[in-house]
Amino acid sequence: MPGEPAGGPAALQARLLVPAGGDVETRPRLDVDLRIGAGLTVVTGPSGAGKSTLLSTIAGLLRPRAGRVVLGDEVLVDVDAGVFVPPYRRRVGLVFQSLALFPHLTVLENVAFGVDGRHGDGDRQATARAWLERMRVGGLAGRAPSTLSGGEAQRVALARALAARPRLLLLDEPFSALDAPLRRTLGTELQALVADSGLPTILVTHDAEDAALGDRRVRMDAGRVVDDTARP
Amino acid sequence: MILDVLLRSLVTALSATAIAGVLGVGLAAWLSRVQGGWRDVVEALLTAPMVLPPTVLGWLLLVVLGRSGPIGRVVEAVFGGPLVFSPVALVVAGTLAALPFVVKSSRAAFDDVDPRLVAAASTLGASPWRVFLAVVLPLSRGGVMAGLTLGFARALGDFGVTLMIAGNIPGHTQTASLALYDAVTAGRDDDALGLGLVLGATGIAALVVGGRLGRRRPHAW
Repeated sequence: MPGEPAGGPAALQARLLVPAGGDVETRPRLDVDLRIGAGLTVVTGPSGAGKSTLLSTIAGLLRPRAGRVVLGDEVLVDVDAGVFVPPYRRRVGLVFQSLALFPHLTVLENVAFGVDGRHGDGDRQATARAWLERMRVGGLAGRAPSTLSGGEAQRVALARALAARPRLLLLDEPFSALDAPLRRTLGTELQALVADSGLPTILVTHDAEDAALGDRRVRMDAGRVVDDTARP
Repeated sequence: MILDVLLRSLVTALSATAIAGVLGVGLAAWLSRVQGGWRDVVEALLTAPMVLPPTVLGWLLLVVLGRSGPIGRVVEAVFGGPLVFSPVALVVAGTLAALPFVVKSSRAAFDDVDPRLVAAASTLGASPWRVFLAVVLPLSRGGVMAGLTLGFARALGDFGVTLMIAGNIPGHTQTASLALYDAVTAGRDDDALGLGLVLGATGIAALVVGGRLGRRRPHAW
């Protein structure tokens, strides 16, 4: 049985069954029961353990065959009841391993992409600029993503995800392309950001050092949770 | 006379490209999303104008759009004149000639867009429609433009289907390639040379431009 969430009541409850195969040939079978609270939850495990499948299913990019996903009070997925909230209505942020910055947009336009547009373009850009400043990359606003260093692109991707005001943030091996000192810096910054904002965050990694950042550590293998430990 | 047919060809090809552009980009977007048997059938039908003999296609269109055909009758009742052997028939023939190029090139470009970018856009709150307009279409613009350019060249030079459904009526439905045929059979070598040079040069220019646009890296910023 999974442990109680580290940060009080569960923000996310996921009981999921995702079959193997389907549109991604190598996608492993996933069978998990997980409750995530506020704070940083780190999910580790070997390649093929189902970590990325878990994030994609929570974000709504994959449909589980059975199970429920509940975020706060909202049911995002209930296969039995025929409920499936599409990804664009979930407000679940996802930072990919590849970062997936839009190559045809500037850094500022990338970050503004997910900002609520109801208050007009000026407000969207101001919000995007504020997030770039907060991630210490305010000077890169006019640059093309292809000109950024790995660390810069990482900060921009994180700013873009946060600017969309997600209720849950999912990070899929976001530091994997960075060297060790930069990983450590960004990891510590992320830890502080999550602590300040209280945003429930799931970080998937196979790096042991990253795993130490979490308030809680979940280890997966072969599509199942094999260990679930809150930091003392 | 030469200027008259060239202008008619240009207007026809531009109109046909515009219509094939809207239809073709929409159909390509649909084809790149759906799966299953219907996709193959629709794709085969859209590609058919590339491989069917123009006489076969022209005959099929005459059956459907002709004065006693199901669509032809309705058009004539509504607009008071027949669709076939009119300038509108020229545009229909040009659109069918251009459509396969627009669909094939756009579809390939849409399929090339990194699915992670599409996924990222949707997790940022973008509806499928916005994802298409703000991410997929801009990243595919090279392929789409290549399809439009090649489609325009193909529509500009269409002969067989145009002759079958629009006729070759001087001053009304005679286009440059039909006028070239007339000039050759009547021994008007100067007219044939002028029309041949303009049509040939335009076609080759479109191939060069289309090829360059198609090779452009879709992610170039």
